[in-house]
Amino acid sequence: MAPVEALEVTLTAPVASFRNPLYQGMQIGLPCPPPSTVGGMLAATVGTWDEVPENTRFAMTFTAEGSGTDLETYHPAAAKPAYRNVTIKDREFLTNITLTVWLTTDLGRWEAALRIPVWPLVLGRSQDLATARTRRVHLTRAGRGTQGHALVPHATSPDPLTSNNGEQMQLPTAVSLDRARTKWDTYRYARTGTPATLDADYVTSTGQALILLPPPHPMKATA
Amino acid sequence: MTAVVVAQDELRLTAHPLQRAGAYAMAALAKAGHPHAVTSNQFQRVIRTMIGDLVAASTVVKGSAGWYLKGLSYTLWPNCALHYKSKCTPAGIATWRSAPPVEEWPDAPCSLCGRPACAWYGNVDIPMGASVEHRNTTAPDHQGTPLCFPCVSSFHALPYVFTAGGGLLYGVHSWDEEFMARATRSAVPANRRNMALRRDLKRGGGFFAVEFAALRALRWWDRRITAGVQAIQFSNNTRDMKFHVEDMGQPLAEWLRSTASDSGRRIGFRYLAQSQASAKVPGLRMLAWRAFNQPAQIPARATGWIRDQISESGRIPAAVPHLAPLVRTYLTEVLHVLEKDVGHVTTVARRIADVVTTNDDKSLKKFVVATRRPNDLKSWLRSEIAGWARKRPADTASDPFISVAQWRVLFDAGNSSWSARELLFVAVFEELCTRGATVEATDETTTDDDFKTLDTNDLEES
Repeated sequence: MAPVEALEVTLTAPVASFRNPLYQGMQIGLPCPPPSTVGGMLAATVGTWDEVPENTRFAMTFTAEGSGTDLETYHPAAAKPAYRNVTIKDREFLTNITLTVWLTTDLGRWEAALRIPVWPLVLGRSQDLATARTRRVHLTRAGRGTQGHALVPHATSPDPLTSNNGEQMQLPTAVSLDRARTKWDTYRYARTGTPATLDADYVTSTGQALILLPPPHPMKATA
Repeated sequence: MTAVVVAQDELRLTAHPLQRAGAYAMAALAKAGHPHAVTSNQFQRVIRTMIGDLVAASTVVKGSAGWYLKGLSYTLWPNCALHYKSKCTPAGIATWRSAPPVEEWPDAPCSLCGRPACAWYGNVDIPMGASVEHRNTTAPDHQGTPLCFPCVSSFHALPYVFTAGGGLLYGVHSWDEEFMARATRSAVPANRRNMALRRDLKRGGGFFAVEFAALRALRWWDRRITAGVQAIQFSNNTRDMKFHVEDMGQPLAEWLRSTASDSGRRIGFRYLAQSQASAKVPGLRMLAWRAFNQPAQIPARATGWIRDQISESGRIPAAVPHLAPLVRTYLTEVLHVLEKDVGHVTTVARRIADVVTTNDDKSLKKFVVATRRPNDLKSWLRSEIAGWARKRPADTASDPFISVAQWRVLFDAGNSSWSARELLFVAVFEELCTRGATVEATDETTTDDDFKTLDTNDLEES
C-alpha cells in the first residue's frame, strides 16, 4: 500500500502543567495533555475553532523528562470581594516535555499555521510557552507498531505479551465553546513508555504506532 | 418538564471516580446490582435514608456513639447545614439534601453527565471542588459547578463507601464495573456500622488500611478483573484539601485475586505474605502496600526471604515447594518475563539442579549465596562449568552448561535481567523439589492476624 503523507509536529517546552479539571479545588496534574488541550492549541494557531474542520483528528505521543510540585500563588476570581484573598496552592508540573502530533488532513493549512500562529503557542497553561517544528513524513497505513509513549483510545486491543499497556485514564476529548459541556473518553498512556505492539491506523518509519484520537472540536461536546 | 424530573431520579456513571464511588454506594443502599438498575422509588428511598442518617447524627454529642457521621462532615462537607445551629434541624438538613424547585434550576447542563443541572454547587457538596463563589474554574456566567440531583447525591453518598479516620477518607475505586459494585457492597455495611457506633474519627484499620482493603476486596472477587484498582485517600477540608491516589495495574490485580481463587496458590500466598513482613508491619499489610507502590519488589522480597532461610540452615524450607511456583507465576503473569527467556532460564535451572543435587548441602548453600549478587552468580556459574562437563547426564552430552543466549538473558538484557535471575532462583528450587529434594518441615506458615478476616470472608464467599 502506498505511504500516506502526514505532517509531524514536534512541540517542546521546558515546563508544562495539565490540570485535571475534575478536581477544581486542587491542582492535580495529568501525566499527558488531554486531546482537548492539544486540539485547543491547534485551534489557537489558526485563531479560532471556526477555522478548524469539525472532523480534524490527530495521533500523538508525549514524553516528560521530569515532574515536580510547585507552590503557586493562587488568585481566586471570586464573585464577592471577601473571597478574593490570595492563597498558596500546590501545583504539579512536568519538565522538558516533548509532544509529537501527526496530522493527516489539511497539511498545508496546519503547516502554515504552526509556522506563524495567530496566538502565542502555549501548551497547558498560558505561561507554558512551547516551540513547534514541523516536517512532512510518510506513514504506512494500517500496520503493527510500538505503543511507546503514544496516547491511545482504551478500546485499542492491548498487547497480551506485556503487562505494561499503559495506565487507563479518563480525559476530556472536547469542551464546548461556552465550557459548559465536556466530552470525556477513556484512554491509555504509559508514562515511561512501553514496548507493547498495537494494530495501528498508521506506522512511522521508526515503527511508532499511531492511532487517531476522536475529534476534539467543541461541536463534538455539544449534546 | 416531567421527563427532566424523571431523569433526575436516574443514577449515571461519569468520569469522576468519587462520583462513581458514590453512585455505587447508592446502588448498594438501594440493594440494586448496579447504579443503572436503581429505580426511581429506590433512589428516593436512598435519599430519605441518607437524610435520616444525617438527622440522627446531628444531635449526637461529640464523644458519644453515633458521632462519626457528624465528625466526618467537617472533613467532607465544610460549612454544610450540620455546622450552623439555625440549619442543623431536620428541615434544614432536608433542604440541603433536596433538589430546589424546578423553576429555580439554572439553565445549564450538569458538568459531569450533561443532564439539566438542578443548582450550582461548590466544595460544600463536591469533594475537591472550588468554592461556589470562585470563578477561576467554572464556565463563564456559571455561579459554581452545575450538577444534576443524582450526581450531587452520589457525592453525598461517599461516607457509605469511603471510611474516615485521621483526617482523611479512604476507599477503593476501579474502572471494572462489576468489581466496583462488589467492593462497594462489601464496604457499605461496615461504614453504616461506623455511623451507628463510632464515637470519633481516630484512624483505625491498622497499617496501610486502604491498600489492605483493596487486597481484601480483590481476594473476595470471583471473576476475572478487567481493570486496575485505585486506592484513594482524600480530605475536602477547606483549609487543607488532600487527594492521593495509588494505582495497581490490572495484571497484578488479577494475580492477587487468583491467590484466593486458585487452590494451588493459596498455601504459597501465606508464605508470600510472611516473606513481605517488615519489623513493624505484618506481611499482608506490607504486601498490600507494595502491590500499589513497589510491585517489582514483591518477588525480590520473596526470594530474599527464601535465601535467608537457606543460608541459615543450609536446607530447603517447607515454604519452597509452595512459594517458588507462586513467585514464578508472578514473574511471568505480572512482570511478563518473555516466554523465550523462561525457556532459557528453565534449561539453566535444570543444569544447576544437576550440580547441586549431586553434591552435599554445601553446594546448595554456595549457589544460594552466589545469587545475592550478579557478579557472584557469574563467578559461580563459571566455576561449575568444568564440573558439570564431567558429571552431566548422557542425554545432554552435546549441550553446554550455559549457552551464550542464556548468559545474555541472565546478565546482559538490561532491566529484564534481574527478573530472569529471580526466575532462575525459583526455577532451581522447583526443579530440586520435583526431583525429590528433602524439605525441612520445621518452619510454620504465617501467624499474621489479618488472615483470620481474609479466611473468614473467603469461607463466607464460598
